[in-house]
Amino acid sequence: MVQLVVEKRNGETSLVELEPGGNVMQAMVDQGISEIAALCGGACACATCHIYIAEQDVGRLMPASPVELDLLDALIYRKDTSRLACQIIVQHGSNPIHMVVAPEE
Amino acid sequence: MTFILNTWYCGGWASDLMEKPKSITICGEAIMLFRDSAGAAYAMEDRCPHRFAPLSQGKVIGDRIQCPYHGLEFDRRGACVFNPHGKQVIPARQPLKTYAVHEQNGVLWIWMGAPEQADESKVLKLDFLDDGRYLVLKGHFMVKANYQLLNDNLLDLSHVPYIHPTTVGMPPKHVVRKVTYKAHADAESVYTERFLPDVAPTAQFLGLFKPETGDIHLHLTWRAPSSFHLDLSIVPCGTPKRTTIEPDDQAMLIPGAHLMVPETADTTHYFYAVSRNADITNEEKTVAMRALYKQTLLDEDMPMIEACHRLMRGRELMELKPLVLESDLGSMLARKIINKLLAKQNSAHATDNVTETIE
Repeated sequence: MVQLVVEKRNGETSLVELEPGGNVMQAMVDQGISEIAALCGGACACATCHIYIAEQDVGRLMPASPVELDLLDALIYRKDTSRLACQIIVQHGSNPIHMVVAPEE
Repeated sequence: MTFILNTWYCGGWASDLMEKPKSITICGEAIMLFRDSAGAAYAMEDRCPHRFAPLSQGKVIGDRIQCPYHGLEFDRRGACVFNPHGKQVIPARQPLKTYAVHEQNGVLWIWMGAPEQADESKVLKLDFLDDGRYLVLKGHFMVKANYQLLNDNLLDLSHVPYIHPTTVGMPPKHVVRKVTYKAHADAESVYTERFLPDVAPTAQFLGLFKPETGDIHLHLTWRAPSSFHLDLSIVPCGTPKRTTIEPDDQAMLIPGAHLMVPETADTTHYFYAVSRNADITNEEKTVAMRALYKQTLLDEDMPMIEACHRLMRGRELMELKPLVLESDLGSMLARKIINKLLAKQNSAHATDNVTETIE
């Protein structure tokens, strides 16, 4: 299992677990992170699963595609560590990945 | 603030503004357009500061506009320069609000923000509009819907087989599985590409494309907040997309411009220009072309968009948590770019206010 440590908008932290090869957005939605609206269901079209990855964990993820980058660039709360959770597939790893749910646009 | 102001909106077709002034409401502001004695276009507040009469119903006298109600005259900078009454005194007063105007490709572009910030490099290029190789038809109508729904309509053309099966599209069974779609964006534009390989030409090619089937390319440019250039063409199957063609080429180019201009949050001006490069002197084809686009836009698109607007009851699309499909990428990018530009404008506005308070 890979562990995600997710800081929600109210500052509370939740632990989310998924199998290697699993989709971060899907795991968050399935495990009750209701702030992740995921209106497009993972099609990389709505940017409502915007998260910030902790700096030390950014390099552990596959880089964003051009479409994901276009969507991120159009967001008000874009940061260098922004990602769309639906575009992240986790690999094996013993340390948890830390992330923060971005503000609603 | 609901509207992006530091941007260009179409204020009308240049050919529609002659000796008589015109009025148009953009982003809730009533604006008068007129030409001076040299033919240059000017735009200012359409309201005389005396009894608030519409100056656009007045007369142009040389480089001045005369109010139709009591005859006060205003110069091109919006200052009252003549009072025909009594001792002809003109009380000191701020001039009327003026707007920067830029005439390009036969479009009168109006900058709604501070005139000194007007940036002409941001005007959308629509070169086909004054290229003699095209026959161009222009029009304008009003829509009872928010302008962003009109953006969505063009940025998500997956509606075409359903709403326009016999006009600018073909029935779903012929195309839905064949279409490929791409979208990308930069800071103030979205670009989408639809490709339909090996399809029968749609009615908008007016029977002028000879082969039985062809490849249709639609490259669309959206410039924030609501101006579109449609680069639409059909080419013989398997041949590359063209931007210009030689006389014996069977390809056909029909570029278009769709310029949405918010009048209010619930009403929008729709300026459109459609064109063709083939058989441009054929009157019969031109009549058919006019009827086709009238049906497409006024009878097919507008009733649907207005119905959606009514059912949304003034709420923002994202607030209603819509189902978002892969084919919505272009419209989602545009909506986010608009949000971001509005946030930037509102924070600049807030900073201005803070500075004023400190001083």
